[in-house]
Amino acid sequence: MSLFDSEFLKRLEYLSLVSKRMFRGQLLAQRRTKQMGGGIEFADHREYAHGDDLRYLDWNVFARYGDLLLKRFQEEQDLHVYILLDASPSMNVGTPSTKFDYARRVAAALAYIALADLDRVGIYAYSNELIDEMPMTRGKDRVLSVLRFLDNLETSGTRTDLGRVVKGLVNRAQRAGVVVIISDLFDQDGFKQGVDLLRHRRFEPHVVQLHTAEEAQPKMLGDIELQEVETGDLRKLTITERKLKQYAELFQAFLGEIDGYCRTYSLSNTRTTIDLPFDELILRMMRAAGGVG
Amino acid sequence: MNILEFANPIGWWWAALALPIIGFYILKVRLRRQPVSTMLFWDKVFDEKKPRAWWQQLRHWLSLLLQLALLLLLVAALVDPLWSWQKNQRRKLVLVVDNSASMAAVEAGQSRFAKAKLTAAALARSLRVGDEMAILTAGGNSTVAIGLTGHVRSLLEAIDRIELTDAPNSLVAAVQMAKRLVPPSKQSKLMLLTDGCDPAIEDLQKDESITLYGFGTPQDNLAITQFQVRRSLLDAIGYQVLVEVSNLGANAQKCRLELNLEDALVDVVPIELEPGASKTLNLDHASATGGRLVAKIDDTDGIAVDNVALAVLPTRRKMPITLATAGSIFLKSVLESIPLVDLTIVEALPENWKPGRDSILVLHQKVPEKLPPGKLLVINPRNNCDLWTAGEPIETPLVSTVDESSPVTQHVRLTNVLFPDARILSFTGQSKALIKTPLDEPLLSYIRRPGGDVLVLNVDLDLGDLPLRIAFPVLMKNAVEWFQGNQGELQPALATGQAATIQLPSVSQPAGKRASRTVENDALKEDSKAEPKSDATDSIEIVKADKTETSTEDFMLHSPAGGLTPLARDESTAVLSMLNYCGLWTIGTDEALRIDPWANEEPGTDKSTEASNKTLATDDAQLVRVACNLCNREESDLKPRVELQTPSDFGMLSLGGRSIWFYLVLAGLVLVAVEWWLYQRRVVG
Repeated sequence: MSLFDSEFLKRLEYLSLVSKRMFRGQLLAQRRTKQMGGGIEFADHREYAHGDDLRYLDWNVFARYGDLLLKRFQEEQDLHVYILLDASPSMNVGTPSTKFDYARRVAAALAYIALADLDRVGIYAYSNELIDEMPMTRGKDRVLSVLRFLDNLETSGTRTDLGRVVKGLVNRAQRAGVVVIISDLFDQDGFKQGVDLLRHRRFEPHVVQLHTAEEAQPKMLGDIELQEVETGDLRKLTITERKLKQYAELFQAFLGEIDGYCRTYSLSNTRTTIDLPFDELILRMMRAAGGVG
Repeated sequence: MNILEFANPIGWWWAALALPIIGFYILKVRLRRQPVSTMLFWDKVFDEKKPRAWWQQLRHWLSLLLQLALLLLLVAALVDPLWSWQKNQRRKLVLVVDNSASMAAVEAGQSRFAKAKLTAAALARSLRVGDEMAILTAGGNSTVAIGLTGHVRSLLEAIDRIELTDAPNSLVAAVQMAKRLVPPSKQSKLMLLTDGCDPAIEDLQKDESITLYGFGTPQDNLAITQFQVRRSLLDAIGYQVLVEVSNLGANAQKCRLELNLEDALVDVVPIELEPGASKTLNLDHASATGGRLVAKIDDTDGIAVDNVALAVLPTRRKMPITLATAGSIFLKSVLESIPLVDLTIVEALPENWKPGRDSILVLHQKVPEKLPPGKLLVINPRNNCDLWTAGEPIETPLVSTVDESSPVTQHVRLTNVLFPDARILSFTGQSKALIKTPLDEPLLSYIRRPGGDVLVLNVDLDLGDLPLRIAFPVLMKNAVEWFQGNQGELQPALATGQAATIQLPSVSQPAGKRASRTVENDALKEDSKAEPKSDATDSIEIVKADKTETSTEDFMLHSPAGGLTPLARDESTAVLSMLNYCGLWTIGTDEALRIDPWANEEPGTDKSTEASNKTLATDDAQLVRVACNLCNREESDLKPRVELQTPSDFGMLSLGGRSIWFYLVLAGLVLVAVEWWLYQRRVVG
């Protein structure tokens, strides 16, 4: 596994420790499901009713205020983490490593942290449809399987359609959970459809947007024939400085629209170019989550 | 008919570059393919533009055509196309530019000289590779402005340096020099740029080896064609002016001639002249001080340089006269009445008396045994001396004969006038009686001696009525002037372009002696009043009457414009051959020129006596001043003698004076700019 070498694994372990110690597992913890039950963690009070078990009476409150209140306890449940990995051909762009390689590393890191935290993780690679999936799994001993799965993934498909993929996902998912979408989001309409559907079904979407520096600020000039890697369409263009400027403005507007959408629905949104080390990206995500939490 | 030929036909091989241009174009049409992750943004960028017109779709073809057109122009420039007249141009060109005074005439807002220079520059620019050109000037002294060279920039700079002169043209000499420089042959050509105002132009036109280009049209012109001034023969402070004004145009002209001496108006003369007529004036005026005499015509005509003429009027100085007398009112009065006399009266002559510069000693009655050196006027000698022995009184001292040829006795009427108490004088040496008795007894004698001439008036002024007669003061004045040596000094004004030999200033130059043209200061010469001879040749000799020891210092020539040129000299003389400009030229040592008051002040500055003496002292001692005027009837005549072809008749100036290749390259640059504007500009925004 050239993608996940020993150096990568060391960094994964470091990230896991940081996640636990510094951020107290808050990368995903704040989104733990809350359900009242027989857990040991105090959650809330309720008034005493005739026939309730007096063992759960809060005697301190009674002594202080004379009120009869019962303690309620939180029942912990497993966090389901769904990692949606964009495996469309548009992710196969970038040098020396592609966006897809980077996305897989990020997916691996997130999956490792979740598994180390005894959460359940499922990975779904998609383009215009679901290409491959790794079913929900749990336990740190499953890390190698995850890495192997990610390493064997390849891009395919002719376009990207997140909406379609999410529709299938939410129908099959046993429980709502955290959904991390790792993509370049060049499928703008499908992206919004998919995320909307996730919100409606009470999933918690996180968006991790990747792009290359070249995609934001192309350096091409002159007469060029552009070929879209997804559709294979060709177009002959004469690119000037002015056109590059217009392109950059459109790209920034595109990013701004994504940001605006995520802000509107209070979605977590992380964006980076692929030249940022993946662990640095994870740490940034942790800091952002810790600041919010 | 002009036919196009090619000086470098092998240059057509460069057209083969069209093949790689077409090849690169074909390669360029096959664009490089660049994969992108999405066309989402590129579509938006390019789909905002309107659909291209059909001609825009052909833009790449246009780019190819422009590049091929550029190649064609550059190749055409390389083969150096020539018109047939260009090919017929000789490969060695000699250009003679007339920069004489007549070329200053203005035609249609531009002088003839300016037009000639423009034509010369155009000819220089039209030189092809391998051609050579030399440029000569034909104004005043013919000079080589630049030798044979093919370097166009040097030729243009040489043309730019050529200046207009005030001198007459020297076309014949210039043509001869040009032929010596480049002998006529098939590969050579001699071109003359002139206005055709030289009488010799007809002969030059007949010479087939010369191509003449004219720049003149007939113009009217009034000119001062002669101007000289000299001191009067009769009056110590008088002077005579000779001026000639000529009408060299086709219409009658009126003007006023003004004479100014050091900016002080002396005379104004109205003149009317028919076409071709001249008027010569002899004007008499008086002035003790000399200076710059300027004649000016108030007329705006063809050229201005011949409307002004300058001459130098020699300065007259006071003559120191020492009168040794016991007391003679008559002598004192008559000597004081003579202009420019500085009289000193002594009772007795001091023993150690020495003659001063230009001084005269008048001895009345008492004479020493040995007469002192210098100029002496002895009146009524009572005793003997080394020159005569005084004898008995003359019995009948009546004037019988007066030598009218002598300047001393000019205008003296003394016949039958009594000279009382005149003695019989026996002269030891040679003497000449200017006034005699019937018995040839001398009453007025002239003795010539090496130490200074002597006049002896044998009369007792206290007796008789001689002092009361008009003849007596006339006689005294004549004697004084004769001693001064004033014979109407003439310091000739030169004409521009004229060579002159001058006597250089001497160290011990006596004051008052200015140049006179080979006329010795001798009263015995019968032709002492003769006018200076004008030389048939152009050479004039200006000599000093007293040739004393000359300085060994270097002499400089100071031009009217203020330039200094070292003067080549031959012991005591020097030859002036560079007077191409009108005005006052001064010759002197470096130090003398530096303190020359005429060079450091405006003309007509009011000078005090002290300053005037200083001026005179400086002037006489170490400086020679020479006035220079055009004064050339032929040069002032602005009518071309023959009809000459103008450069506009020639095809070359229709091209702006440049070869075709230049314009081809220019067109190529335009194409490059167009191609950049259409195609490359997009790339760089």
